[in-house]
This record gives sequence, C-alpha cells and structure tokens, in this order.
Amino acid sequence: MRTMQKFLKSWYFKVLCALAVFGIALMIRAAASGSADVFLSQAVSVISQPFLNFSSSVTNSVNDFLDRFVNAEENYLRVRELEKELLEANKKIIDYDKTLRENEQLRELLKLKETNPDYEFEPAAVIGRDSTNRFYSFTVDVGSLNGVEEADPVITPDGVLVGIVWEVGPTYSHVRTILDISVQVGGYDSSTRDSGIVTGDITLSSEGVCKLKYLPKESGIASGNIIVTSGIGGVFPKDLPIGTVRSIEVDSSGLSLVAEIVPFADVENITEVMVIKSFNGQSTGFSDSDTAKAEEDGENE
Amino acid sequence: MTEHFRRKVMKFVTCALIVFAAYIIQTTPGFFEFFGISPILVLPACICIAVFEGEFAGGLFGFIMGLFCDSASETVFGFNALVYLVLCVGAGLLTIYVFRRSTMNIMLLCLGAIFIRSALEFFFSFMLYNYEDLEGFFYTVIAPQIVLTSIFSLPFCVLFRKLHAFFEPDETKE
Repeated sequence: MRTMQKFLKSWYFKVLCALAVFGIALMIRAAASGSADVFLSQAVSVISQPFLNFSSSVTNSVNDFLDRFVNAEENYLRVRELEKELLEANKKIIDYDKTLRENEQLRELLKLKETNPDYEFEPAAVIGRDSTNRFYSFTVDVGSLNGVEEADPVITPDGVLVGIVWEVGPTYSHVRTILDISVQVGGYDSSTRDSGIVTGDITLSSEGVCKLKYLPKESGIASGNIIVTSGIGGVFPKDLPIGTVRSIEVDSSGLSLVAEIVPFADVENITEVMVIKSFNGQSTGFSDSDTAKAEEDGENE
Repeated sequence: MTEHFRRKVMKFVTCALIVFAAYIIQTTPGFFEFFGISPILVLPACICIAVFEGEFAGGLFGFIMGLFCDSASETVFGFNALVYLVLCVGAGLLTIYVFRRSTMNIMLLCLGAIFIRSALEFFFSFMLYNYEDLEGFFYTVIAPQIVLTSIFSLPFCVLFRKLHAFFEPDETKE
C-alpha cells in the first residue's frame, strides 16, 4: 500500500494540482468576464453536440410514442375539451355567417329604402321548400309575430318580384312564387305600356318561366322587353321588376297575345327574400284583380 | 505494446465511453427524468472510476467530465471541473487509506460527493444571491436530486466493479 507521503511526492499529485489550478483559473476568468472560456466550451460542444442531437431525437421519438399510453386519459380529456371548443367555434361561425348575411340584406334593404321610402320590409330566410311542388313555393322564417300578413309581396333583396305570402303562421309564412298558376300579378311592358296578367303555367314552370296573358292583339311588345308590376289592385307595389319577354304568341282564342316571361329572380334557388309589409296604396288581403287564390284553391283540391 | 498496456487502454476507453454515455443521458432533456428531477450521473461514474482505478484516473476523468458538465450547465465555467476533480481524488484516496471497496462504502462516497457538490452549487448559485423560498427549493429540487443520484450510483458501482474484474483479474484476486 502506498503511503500518503509517497502520493504527495508523486507526479500524479503534481498533475492533479496543476489541473486544480487550471480549474480555478478557468472559474476566475469566467467569473470576471461573465462568459465561459470560448475555446474550451466550443471544443466540448463540438464533441458532445452530435451525440446530444441524436440522443434528443431518440428521446423525443420515444417520449412521443409513450405519451400515447402514459397520457392517454389526459389526451382523451384534452380531445373532449377541444371538441367542446370546436363546437363553440362552429356556433360562432354560424352566428358570423348569419350576421354577414343580415348585413348584406340590410345593405340591399337600405338601397331599396332609398328608392322606395314608403316600403316597410321584413328580411326573411328561406327555411323550407316543398320538393313535390312544381311551382317552387317555399317557407320563410317570418310570420305574424313579425308583422307579416297574407298577400304581402315577396321580393329579392335587390327588389325583384318573387311571389306572395300565401299563408301566415306565428313564426313562418308560406310563399307562392310568380311561377305558380294560382298567383296572378298585374303587369305591363315598360316599353310599350301594354298591360296584362302575369301568372304561372304548368308546362313552363319547369323551365322557370311564366306568362303575361291578355295583352292587346295590336300590342308592340317584343322579345327582351321588361315587364314590371302595374300596382293595380293594391296587392303589389307599382314598378317592381318581374322579368323579360322571351317569346310572344297569339292566345288560343285568337283575341289576345300571350308572352313568355323569364323572371329576373332565381326562384328555384333563392335563399334570402324581403317581405313588403306595407307600401303606399296597399289593399288588405287578396284582391280579385291581382290573385285568384280562391279559384285556384278550389282547382287544386 | 504489451498485453498489460493494451488491457489498460481498453479499460480506460471503456470507462470513457460509459462516462460519456452517462453525460449524454444526463444532459438530454426529458430522457432520464423522474417527476421532473434528473439525477447527476456523471459524478457517481467518476467516483466509481476513482474508487476502482485510482485517484489519478478518477481525478482526470472528473476534471474532463466536469468541463463537459460546465458547458451544459449555468454554473461558472470550471466549477464542476474543479469540484469533480477534488471529489474524485478525495474518493480515490479515501478508498486507498480509509475505506474498503464495498458497495455500501462506494454508495456512501457517492452520496457524500453529490451532497458536497449540490451544497456548493446551492451556496454559490442561490444562497449568495438571497433568493426567495430557498428552503423550499432545496427540499423540492436539490434534496430529491441528491437522493436520486445516490440510488443511481449503485448500477455504476456494479458496472465498474465488473469492468475492473474483467480487465484486472489478477488484482481483483488479491
């Protein structure tokens, strides 16, 4: 066994002392300069960095793998929480879309209000369509609680005639379109001023086209002319655009002309409408001159 | 090159690889953590080298690996190198002059070494700056780390004992 004295005299001890002094010098230098010895720390980093990188990547992979099992319950709860958050976010998106739609409607409404200050509108969304109805009638989300009444005209947000309120519930209304044979609208050619009755046709409705009947035989009506409401009868306001003339022919009796009208409104696909609750010269309920509800109801039955 | 020299070189290369592996494991974030506490693996490994291979080899390994630890820690550069050097030389000398190389003694040496190292770090890095709630920090971070490191000194003790027996069969028999 070596003695302590022998160790203290050995070159081992001297080397160890030198290392200790070197260590102290390193510490003093680092403390004084506030940073590590650049050469030494870089040398150590160069040696260890590749191994540490490899080790880190392995650790991360293993941890990710184990995380699925170790934190399964926590992850499950987190998923539940995120699902709730997603649901709330979806609700917000729906609200946002609704607000956006209302905003667009209100902008259109504002334009219509400027040109027709006497109109009182109720914006409405199409919430249902009867798939068996060939005249594209639909249900809107406003009813008597919103001040909507039977025979109120229904237009697009940009002011084009769509149809008429046929039945009113507290929170909904059924609307029949201008393609419906039961709906009759007084209209006239804005160019020639020749007037007639706009109504649906069983064969033409599938094409999204309606008819203007009872035009004088000597009328100068031509294809492309614009047909607007006449306002006679007080059901529809005057000068609501209806559509353009597609073709003209003599009626079967040979006494008058009939024109096929392509409506401006995309009746089949419309999703947003405006119900005109009141306007100057409005009559209450259905008028014989503008509609034939009673007769058509009888026919339908 | 004699057989004895070749064996010595192989032995110290193996020691270096083990200590370096311990350093990599210790330094890799999240690899060897228990409730957020990582054991200091390099110090028990160097202590074991000092115990089995002598104070000079232990001191040298301690100093070099201390430098590695310094590059990865926020202590003053050179702190770990100096402390590991002194502790390993001390452990080597204590094994020669005072203790036997029993597993319990080696574990106690490791516990003492890690306690001194942690106490010095705690004093120089925290107590001197008079941070708040230092007592809580000691009991929740430093003390569990000391305990954890002591526990992990056992596998190093077994490993280096076997390594020593493998490369120095004659010395082990004596």
